[in-house]
Amino acid sequence: MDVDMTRSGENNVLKLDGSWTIERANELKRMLLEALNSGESIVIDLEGLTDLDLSTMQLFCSAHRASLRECKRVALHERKSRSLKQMVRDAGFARTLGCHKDPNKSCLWIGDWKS
Amino acid sequence: MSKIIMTVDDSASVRQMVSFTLKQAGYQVVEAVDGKDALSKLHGAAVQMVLTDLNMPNMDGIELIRNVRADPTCKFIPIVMLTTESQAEMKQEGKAAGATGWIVKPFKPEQLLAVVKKVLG
Amino acid sequence: MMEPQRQAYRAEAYELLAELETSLLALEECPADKELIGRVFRALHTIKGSGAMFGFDDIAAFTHDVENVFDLVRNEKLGVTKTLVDLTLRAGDQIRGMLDGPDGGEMTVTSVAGEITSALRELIAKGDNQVGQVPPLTLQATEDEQVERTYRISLRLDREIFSRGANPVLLLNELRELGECSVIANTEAIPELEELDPEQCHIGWDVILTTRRGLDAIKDVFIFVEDECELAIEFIDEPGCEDDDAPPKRLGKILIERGLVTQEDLQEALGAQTRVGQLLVDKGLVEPSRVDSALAEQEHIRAVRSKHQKEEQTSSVRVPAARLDALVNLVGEMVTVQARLSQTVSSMDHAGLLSISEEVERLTAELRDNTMSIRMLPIGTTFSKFKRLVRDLSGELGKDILLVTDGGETELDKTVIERLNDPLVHLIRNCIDHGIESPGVREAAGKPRQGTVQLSAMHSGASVLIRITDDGAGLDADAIRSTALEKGLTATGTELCEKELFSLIFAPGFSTTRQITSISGRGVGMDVVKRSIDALRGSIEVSSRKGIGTTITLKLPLTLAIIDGLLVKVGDGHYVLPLSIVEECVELTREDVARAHGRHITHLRGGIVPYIRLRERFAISGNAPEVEQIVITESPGGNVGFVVDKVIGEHQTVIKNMGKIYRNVDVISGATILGDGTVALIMDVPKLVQSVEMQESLTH
Repeated sequence: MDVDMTRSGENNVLKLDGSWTIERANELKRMLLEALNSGESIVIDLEGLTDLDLSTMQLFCSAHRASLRECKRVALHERKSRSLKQMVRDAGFARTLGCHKDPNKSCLWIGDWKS
Repeated sequence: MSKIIMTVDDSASVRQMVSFTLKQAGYQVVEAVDGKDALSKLHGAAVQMVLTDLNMPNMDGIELIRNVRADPTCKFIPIVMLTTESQAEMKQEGKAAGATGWIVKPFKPEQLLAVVKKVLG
Repeated sequence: MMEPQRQAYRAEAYELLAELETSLLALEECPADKELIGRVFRALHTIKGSGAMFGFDDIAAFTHDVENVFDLVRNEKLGVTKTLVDLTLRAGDQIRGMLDGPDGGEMTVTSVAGEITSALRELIAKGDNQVGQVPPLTLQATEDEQVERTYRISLRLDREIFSRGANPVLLLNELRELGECSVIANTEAIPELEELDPEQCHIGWDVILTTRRGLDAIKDVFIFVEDECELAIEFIDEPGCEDDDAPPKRLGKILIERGLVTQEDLQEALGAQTRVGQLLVDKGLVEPSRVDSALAEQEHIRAVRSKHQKEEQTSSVRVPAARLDALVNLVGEMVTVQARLSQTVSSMDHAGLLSISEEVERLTAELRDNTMSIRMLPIGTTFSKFKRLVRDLSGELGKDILLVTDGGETELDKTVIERLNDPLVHLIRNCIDHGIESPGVREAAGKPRQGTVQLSAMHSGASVLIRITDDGAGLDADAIRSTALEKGLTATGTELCEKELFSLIFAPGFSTTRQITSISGRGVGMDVVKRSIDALRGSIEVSSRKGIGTTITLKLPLTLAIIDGLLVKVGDGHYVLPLSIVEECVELTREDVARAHGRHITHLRGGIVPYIRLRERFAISGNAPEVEQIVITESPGGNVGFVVDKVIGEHQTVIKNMGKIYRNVDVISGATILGDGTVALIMDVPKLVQSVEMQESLTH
């Protein structure tokens, strides 16, 4: 199984393993929507993720945005994932301020992605 | 893991030149003689990029591009068409069909590799 | 281009010429047949196109005119006449003649060719001559070095870009290749999840690029997408265009320049005394990602300018190495004393002293980093020495070998570089002697006569990787196995994986070559190499494929003198683990131990991690505390935990070598002196893991 959703209380953990690129963007959108609608927060576990692309980043960003309106939470687990770091740097996603709708600075891309 | 590129051309010498150049650069190459042949080989070979001529018997390059873009399993792979200066309209048609880029014939091996790097990384 | 390719072209061209002839003769019968015209055009087109690719340039040039004529015919701008068919048939003969020519196409264009060409051009002149303008084939000339300029590139791609097989990240990476580049994605247009079509791209970019390559080179990056994107390239900075000493543009100015805020908004914002960016965001005047992007621009320009200033200050001072070593020693002492100071002060509860102590700590860290950077030298100088070595040795052995080096600018501690010289000489000698085959053997195996040895260096975290790669015969696994058996290095029946097998070549007294040469082959090389690399706290790895070649990778620490460590306590003893490999620390309770039923494993977020109890390992007496700590470290074979009594914290560790008596204790790589004067041992984690693994495999 390369995708797995587990619940603990109000929290959904969405574990993505292997390659999650544009070919599976629609599938990922469905998973994220389901996770978002069925709990108060999602932790996206990227420890086993080997491959992602811009469409994946866009989906994470979009999910985070949707969560803000409903006062829910989205977080990435294992920000040390090599492929994630590389993509954040390559695509220029690293942030210091977060986005407009995000007063609490819960933006997924705030932080140090350099090393 | 080296990336797999498919070269589609009815001219054996162009195929051979493309193949030779790409293999030297460390890519794996699948050859196809026309659009039909290409479509039939596309799935089995886990192709990550297609280089196609436009003028071909049976199924031409434009038709091939349309078919690839309509196939959900490979619609996002980069496709580079081999065009000539005199084929400006064909190029537009190819772009409209969903080609990622193009390379103008005749080209030298290093130009080919530059274009492959550009769209495949 | 290789001869087989040219031969393939010839064969195909003959075929095409035959087809051309048949089609032409048929065309004479029915001059309006579009299918036939198409076939003639395709044949000519391929002869020309491939000709140019395989170096038959005169064939390509000659066929070009014929092709142009048929392009006109194809577009119904010229009719098929007997003259045309005659001319084309003659042209076909001419091409065949050129193919037959002594050097395939090198033959000078004869008067016949000239005659045909001019007759064809006349025909073209009669038709529409718009087409005959195919520009000659030239490789794009790389633009000359120009002045370094900074550009602001803002890019918004067509939403359907993914469906065209394009990957915008590759475009960004291409820009990075042009020069110093800061990239900020604008994500504010991404819709919320419900509304998002995930196969569309809603991301835009601001890129600040400093390059010498000029505007055209930047535009070339976007050549495949230029019709489908909004692209704006502005020129924003150039050395000398404004006073270089002037501070980089203020954030507010950048935002106004980009048309994101008005002067009035800015004035108002500036009235309050907070940071402009945050303020403008708070007021909802500008999107945060835009501020981030403007900040990136400011930062970028600052960096580029300071680089310039550095380049200008070419003056340097030569200092004797001994003075540098003395400085490093002093810094080492200083770090130790500072640790003591911090410790004393923290127990005194004196606010004034505490702030001074913190200041000293900060300065010491800076001093340490600066001193260490002085000791860093590019490895390139060592590399260049090897060129001569390779040249001389290969001559002596009658081999033809090219040394290619890469990453010579990679910096390493001076001592490491010095001590690396001998092992590298050994390894390169081995490549030349055992790795690369003699030219005859290579040729028989279908390889180029000339063998290649590649020497490369690159940074990887806190280490430097040095690779020696050859395209020689590769290691012979069977020969290694049988030699190992013969010398009693392995027991009969033991199944070794390839990696384990290859690592046997580092065992003392190992050599498989039957013939001893003056260069190597006495089996005294590789074990010495391994010992030297171990002494540098490095590691060595071999990978090889028979017939393809061998790669030896050395992994070395950047510096030898000081590392960032994690200080832990077991019983009364202090130990240091290199911080670079520490992943995290977790608690281990008695219940956890009981639950594992005696096995040394712990559960960590769904996975299991084996651990080593240092208390048992080091035979420390006394009882473990109720709650112990596991330090999880990164190991080549997966994470491994170390159970300690207490994790004290990060510690700047000045490495002191252990005395000769302890030379055989290989699980300890050194020692350091703590603030209160006690000694802490520095653990060699990979060795420790290895020794435990060995012990376990013996007991099972």
